Amino acid sequence: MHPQQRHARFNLIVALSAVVPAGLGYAVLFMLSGPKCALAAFGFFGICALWGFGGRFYGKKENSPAVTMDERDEDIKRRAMVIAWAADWLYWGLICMVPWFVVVLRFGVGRMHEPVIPIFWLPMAYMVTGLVHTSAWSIAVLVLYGTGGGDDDA
Amino acid sequence: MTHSITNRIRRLRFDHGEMTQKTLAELSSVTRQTIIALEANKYVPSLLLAYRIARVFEVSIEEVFQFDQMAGDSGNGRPG
Repeated sequence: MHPQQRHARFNLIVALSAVVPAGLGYAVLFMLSGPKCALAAFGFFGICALWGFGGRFYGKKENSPAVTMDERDEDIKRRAMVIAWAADWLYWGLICMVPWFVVVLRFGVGRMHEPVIPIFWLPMAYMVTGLVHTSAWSIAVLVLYGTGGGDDDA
Repeated sequence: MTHSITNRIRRLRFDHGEMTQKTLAELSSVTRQTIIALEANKYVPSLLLAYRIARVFEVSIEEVFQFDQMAGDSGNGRPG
């Protein structure tokens, strides 16, 4: 397995390690203590800081004599990055437009300026962008390598 | 119009003393995964890499890579 694939797999494991307990924690705390206390469960997103070690674990080794990144790997990296940016645009489009549609449908165009969104959701939306970006990049890398990059012998 | 690039890398490796994928990868400065992808026709190399591989086998680039037109292609690429 190529180091880039290992890096992508590591990113996804870290993302799941953050999202699953955050989601479960939010649901449990919401039922037990209400919505304000449930926000504390989002602290599990701090696990995503482990992504910072990915480059150290799977990055280019300075003394390695073998080729680790060739033109195909660079091409996959570039295409995965384009897919990740596209996912970011889609995510931001959705989080901006879906609440607006909900408000318009619920209150009508004439009163759409009245509902407010808690300011807390802005940094949350920004952090989730990182989650979307890294997860999309990692999934794209794994898909683009596909099964053709396996270890069949010859 | 649909085209594909096929190659004879696997055949040429065996003709050159059963050269391993690892050896070919080292000689052409790529990873073994890229050689695997090339042999499976899952990756079309750059012109530079194509020349490097041809040079390893000491043959012309046409002897390694073949340009194929798929069935159903009109052939001249012109409408009508």
